[in-house]
Amino acid sequence: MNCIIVDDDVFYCKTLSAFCERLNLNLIGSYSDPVEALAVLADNKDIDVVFLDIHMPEITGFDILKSNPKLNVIISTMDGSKAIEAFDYNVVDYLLKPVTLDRFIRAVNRAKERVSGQSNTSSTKSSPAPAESNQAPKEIFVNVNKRLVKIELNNIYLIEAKGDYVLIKLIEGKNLVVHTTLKSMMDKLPSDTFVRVHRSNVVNIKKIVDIEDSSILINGEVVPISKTYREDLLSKLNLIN
Amino acid sequence: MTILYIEDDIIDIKNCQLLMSRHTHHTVKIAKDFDTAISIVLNEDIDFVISDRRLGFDNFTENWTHFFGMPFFIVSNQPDESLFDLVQAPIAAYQKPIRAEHLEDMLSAITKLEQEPNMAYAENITAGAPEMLREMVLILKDQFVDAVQRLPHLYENGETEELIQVIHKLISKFSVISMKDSFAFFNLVEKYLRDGLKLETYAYQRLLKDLNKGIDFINQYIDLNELHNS
Repeated sequence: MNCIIVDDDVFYCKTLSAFCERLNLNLIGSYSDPVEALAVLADNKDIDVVFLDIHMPEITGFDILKSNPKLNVIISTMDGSKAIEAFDYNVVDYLLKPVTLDRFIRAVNRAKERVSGQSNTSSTKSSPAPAESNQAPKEIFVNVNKRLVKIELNNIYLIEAKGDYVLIKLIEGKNLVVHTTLKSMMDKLPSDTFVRVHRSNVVNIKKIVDIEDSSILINGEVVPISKTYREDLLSKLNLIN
Repeated sequence: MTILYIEDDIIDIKNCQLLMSRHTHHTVKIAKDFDTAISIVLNEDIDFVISDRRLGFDNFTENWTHFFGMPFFIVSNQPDESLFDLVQAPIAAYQKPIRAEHLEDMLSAITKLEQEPNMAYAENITAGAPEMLREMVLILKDQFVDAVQRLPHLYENGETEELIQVIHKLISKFSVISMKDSFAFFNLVEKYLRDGLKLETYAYQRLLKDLNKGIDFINQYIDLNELHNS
């Protein structure tokens, strides 16, 4: 767990550093100047926990909490009267100085639980759960003239590169022009359904009617197919030789 | 111990002197008014105060700030709860006349305030690493010495905000070296100053006295453990 200490009292910087060392925490830095600490916090997004004093000159611990609301903070202070206010900022724990090792360990354990919960949440956000990942998405949203428009995937038969734009051709409804690249589009589409057949074309293989040497017939339209992509296309078809 | 008894009733004074005659190793000084009492507190080494609630038209609760930092007990015909609303409450309040058991209680309570400083906290933190222990003890000493040097200027020039900050940083340091009564006193001083009250001379003297006691202890510890700066 990456952590930093922000305390203008050098004695407690040393104390908390010693505790971090005993718990094998990765202490990135110990700052007696809260202004310096603010700069570090702005530059370093990998900090899991901040041990923060409240009463400091120029900038208080609450100022740091206000400007960094997502930080996992363990307050370490002499002032017991600020606990309620601190927990309003969702701090992990509130330690009274002089901090004992037992109490420090309990606070760190709470921080670990919270950090672990956050990483689970973020991994859930960044990639779907396994059960869901096997299910192909059924639709996508594209930005058309600052509107997010939902498109059913089975309504798309062809996507064509048009410079900085792509043209999405639909079986039903008006074709859409979207400011994006073909590659970005493909990243969002199920690879077993949407296949590149040319430098400028991606087709929905479920909508293909037939394939000739150099072209595909799809939804009544003939689309060129290049040699480079032909084999990949054939490998994805349910083909009986 | 030296006790200051603030009382204007001659019968109560005689009663107290009689009771204290059984405790020959303690000394009792008498003040019949608050001005005399304040002068004694400032100029002599008093361990605690026993005071009547009222001396004629004068009232202890109107004079208590001069005794702030001094352990005190109240004796009164009618002690009441408002005494305990003071920033520094009396250790105890008794109904007159003072009896032998009252005195025993007082002496016992004062004995418990005696401080036996130690360095167990720093020793535990550093887990036997001598270099780290040395570093932490020297930081502590520097902070105490720095405070002793800064306090006169801050106090004499009425720089209250700065004074509060210095005191705030010291409070937990007294806990670190197990000077629990000083910890409690510095805590009260911070509250007292934040309430906008003016720090009287005795309280200021006690701040310095406690700090110097802390420095003496740290110096002894440094000598004993040979932790001097190399």
